[in-house]
Parts: sequence; C-alpha cells; structure tokens
Amino acid sequence: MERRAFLRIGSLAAASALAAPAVHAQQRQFAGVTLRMNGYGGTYDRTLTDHVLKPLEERTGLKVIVTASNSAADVVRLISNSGRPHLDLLMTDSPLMPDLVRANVIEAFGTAEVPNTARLLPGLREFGEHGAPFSLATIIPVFNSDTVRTPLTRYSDIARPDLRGKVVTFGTNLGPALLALLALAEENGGSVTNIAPGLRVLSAARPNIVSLASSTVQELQLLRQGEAQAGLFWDGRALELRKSGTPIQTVVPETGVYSIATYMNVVRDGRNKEAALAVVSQLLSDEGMLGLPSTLRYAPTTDVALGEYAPEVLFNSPERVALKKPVDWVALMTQRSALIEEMNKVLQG
Amino acid sequence: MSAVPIDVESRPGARLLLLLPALALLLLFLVVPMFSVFRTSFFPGTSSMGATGFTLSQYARFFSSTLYNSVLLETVAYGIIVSVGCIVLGFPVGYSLARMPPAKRRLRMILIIVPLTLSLVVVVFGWMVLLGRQGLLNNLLLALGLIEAPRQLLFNRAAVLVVLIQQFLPFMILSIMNVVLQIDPVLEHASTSLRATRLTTFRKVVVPLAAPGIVSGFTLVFVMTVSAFVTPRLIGGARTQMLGGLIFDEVLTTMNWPFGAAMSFILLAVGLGVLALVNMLVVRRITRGLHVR
Repeated sequence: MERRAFLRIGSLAAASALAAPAVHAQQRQFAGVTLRMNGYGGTYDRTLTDHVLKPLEERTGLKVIVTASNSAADVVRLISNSGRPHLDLLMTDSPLMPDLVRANVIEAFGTAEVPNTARLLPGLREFGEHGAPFSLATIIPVFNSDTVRTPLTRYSDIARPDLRGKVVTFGTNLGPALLALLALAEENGGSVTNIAPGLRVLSAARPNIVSLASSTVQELQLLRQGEAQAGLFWDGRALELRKSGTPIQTVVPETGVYSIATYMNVVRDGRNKEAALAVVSQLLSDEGMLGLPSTLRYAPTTDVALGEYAPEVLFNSPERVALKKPVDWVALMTQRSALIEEMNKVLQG
Repeated sequence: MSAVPIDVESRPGARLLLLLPALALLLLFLVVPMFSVFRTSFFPGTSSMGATGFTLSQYARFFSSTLYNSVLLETVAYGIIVSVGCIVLGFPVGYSLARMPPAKRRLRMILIIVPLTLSLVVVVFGWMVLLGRQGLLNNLLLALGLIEAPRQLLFNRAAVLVVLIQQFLPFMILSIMNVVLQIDPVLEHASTSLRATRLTTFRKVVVPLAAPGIVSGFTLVFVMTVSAFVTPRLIGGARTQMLGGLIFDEVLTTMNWPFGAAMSFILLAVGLGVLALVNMLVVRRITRGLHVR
C-alpha cells in the first residue's frame, strides 16, 4: 500500500472511530425516554409491539410501556385529569375522537411533524390534524353457512324472519352499535340526522336478536359456540373465526360498508412529545402499517402495498376503498345519549 | 408495668379519637366524591365540563321516560328476588355451619369463601360455558333424552337470577352464620322442652333471633344486586337491562355525567328506601316482643 493511500485510509478510520459515539447518540436519540400507552390486549398489542415499538426501540432507544385497558375509561381519565395525563399515547377509535378533540387533551400534528401523514388515504383523517388513523375495522353482516341457508346480503337482513333467535350484534354501550344503527338507517333512506329508519329495522330485528354483545370477545364466543348464527361483526374477527374452523361467512354489501378507524393520539402535556410523534411516524411507515394486516387482516390507512395479505383484507383495492361510507362522527356522537336510549327502548319493547 | 384499659364509655373524647381515622377516610373518599357526583346531577346539558347552573332536568328526564322507570322497577325486583332466594338457600347452610364444631366449620367455610376469590368475569364466562347450547347442561339433558335439540338456556331473566344468586349466596351464608353463632342452643332446647315442634321453634325462636343476620345479609345482597352490571350484560341478552348497566353507559359510553350522576342518586335513594321499608315491615314484625340487638 502506498504511503498516501495508507494515510487516507488511516485518517478515515480514525475519524469514523471518533465520530461513532456521536452518530450512535444521534440514532438513539430517545435513549432513557419511556412513554406510556394504552393497549387493546392480546394479538393487537403484540402486533404493535413487534412491528412498531420494538423496531423503534432498537433504532432510537425509546421504550413504550403498553397497558391493556378500556380506551373509553382512559378517555374519561384523560379528560378528568387534564394537564396530568396518565398516558403519553392514546389509542382509540373514531367514536371517542370528538370528545378528545373537544376536551383539548390531544395534540394536533401535520406533515411537518410526521411526514408519513402525507401517505394517509384521502378522507381517512376525519378530525383535522388530530390523531393519526392507522387501521380500519369494518362492520359487516356475517352468517354461519352451516345453519343459515340464505346468505345475508345487506345490514338490514338481520331483521329477516328466518333469523328468529339467531342474531347477535353490538351492545348499545359500544360505539359500533351506533355505527350499525347508522348503516341500518342509511340503507333504508335515512341519514345521520334521520335515524328513524334504522330504529324501525332494529325493532323488526328484535325477535331475532338473541344477545347484544358487550365486547368483541363475547360476540366472538357467541358465534363460535353457535349461540348466534348471524349478525353484524368486525371483518377481521370474522376472518379469525373462519380460520379457526367456524363456518362464518362475511358479506360486503354493494351499497357500501361502515368502518371505524383506530387512531394513535399524542396526549397533551405528555412526557415527551417528540418521542410520541416518533411512534406515530413509525406506525405509519410501511413496517408499521403491515403489522395489523399480517395478524388480524385489518386494513391499513396508507398507500402501503399489501402484497400477500391483499386477498384477505377488505380494503384491498381502490374500488373497495370507495365502498367505505363517510361518517360524520361529531353529528353521530352528539346524539349518542338519545340514540342509545332509543335503541334500549326498541330492544326492551 | 401493666397497661391500663381506656374506659371509652365514660370518656366520649376517647371514643371520638378512636373513630376519627375511619371518619376522616370516609369523609375524604366517600362523602366528598359523593357530594361532587350529587352536584353534577344538577348540571344542565350533557356534559359536566365547564358546566354551571342548577336544574332538575336530569331527574325529570329519568322519571318521564318509560324505559328508565321500567328498568328501575326491574332492577329493584331483581334485588328483592335475588335477596329472598339467597335467604331461602343460605339460611339452612348458615344455620348448619353455626351449629358445627369449629374444626369442621373451618373447612366448609373455605369452600364457601373460595368462589368469592374468583374474578366475576371468569365466573360469568364459566356459567356461559355451562349453560351454552354446547354446554354441560344441554349435553346432559340430551344424553338423558330429556330434550331432542339443545335449548337456549342463556340470555333470559331466569339465567340472570340463577347466576346472581350463585354469586351473592356466600354473603348471605356468612351473615346468617355469624348471628346464629351468637344464639345459645339452650334456647332451642328450652323451646323443645316446652313442647314446641321443630317448626315452631324455628319460627318463634331461631328466625327472630337470627333476624339481624338475615337483614344484614339481605342488605348486602340487595345492594350488590341492584348495582350489578357485568352479569346482566353477559348473561341477560338483549331484553334484560339493569340500572347499573345504564349508569355505566352514561358515564363511560355517552359521557353524559350529569344524567349518569342523577341515575346513580335515584338508584341510591330507591335502594335505601326499599331497605328501610324491609327493615320497618319485616324485622319489626319478626322481632316484636323480643330483645334483639
């Protein structure tokens, strides 16, 4: 080796060695930072940990402690303890977002803070710059093909006379119940400001409804055990049932489908806003986006390529995405108290 | 040097001092929050955030709705039926336990207390597995040829009552047992020696003397039943509603805290009213002429 080349290589190696700690420190910019986040439990949390939190920790040193809980209770806690949050990141669904925005307990952010938000599909960010939607769960009609001979084709089919004592749907205490009611209303000429047609279908479905599930797990169990043979359920969970051997078929109504987006929110006055935004950014990256489709088949919210998961994900093409009905959550949730009362009246008879 | 016992009877100050920690705890963590909830129930509108003013509209909304009135009545009915069911099933067990030698009683007490250590959700899901279409009971009935196809045993009022009675029975047994332990068996022997039949002894001696235990058991079971919401939700199906569930919905789902607070206080008032009535009508009649503490 020539003397000149030796000197060049030697000085480069020395410079690299000297710069390494600085580069490492820059990469692990959140070393020592620990954030608190709520979880949905089970597979959902494991997926987020594997596809979002672990890779981020390896790169930046950021630790996120996930505690499975009831997100509605977390929302109540955040609102009642404004300024002293018990979480730094809050995962919650569309129905609860209007309350969070109104109470001013979550931060707004745009493409400047999280560039990946530019990749979100049009119309999916339903609350301006509040929260990042990262997964879509869709309510669809389902039926057991062993016991229900005529397939369901639309939401209102839960009122079909041949389904007496066979239907399960969401408990009135759950956000999806309101969305299902809106679906029943819009399918029959109603709207978010005219829910009456939906209540009429619910009234007709009353003899059919064997139970109102108070949780997703309960509905899953009722369909698995054969206590119910038809109903309205989450697309991903129905697929989970089918894969585990229960002959549950899913239906995509031609007139459109109703989805709830799950949002990741950066809580105001949290421990470290920059670190929380890094979690959101990782969540909206291709690696983060493909997590839930890979395990629960819930649809992603960005332009990420689905690849091998495409056949089993409901929103797997622009045509399917076009089927997603827009929902005015603020208008729907403003009426929730009255609507839940009406639903209870109808179901109580 | 021997310790001198404090004579709390003659020193009211000492008595107050002993009560003070518990009173302070109750005041801070029960009375103050309850007062806050009570105040919330008089806020107008659907949110307590930044709310001001005073209105009875939340109470008016409750009492003008047939839904809430019927659910309230149903809730009280569940409370009474479950409490009476627990008395009927719990009295013989509590009585027999009290009359057992302590060593034998201890083992049986463990059996009674163990179910209380299980999570309510686990117990309810256990019942769902037991009563389901593919559950143990349906399979048994099918095997015995008593039914030809699985029956719907879940999601009705009877199922809710059975599960609630199972959940709260230990409280009744323990209440009755503790009081019967204080009744001297000599009184029963005296009654028998005076030619009273077993039924008369039971009716005129045992039940009146055990009345405080029955009432405290009734109170516990009634209060826990009217505030139950997990069991009715999971076992009751679409048409079984209890007020606890509706309060839960108002607070956590619709976040209408003023209405939720009003419903809570209506349930509290009605519950206390029913208990006062039971105390007045039943206990006084049973214990008339007796010196029962």
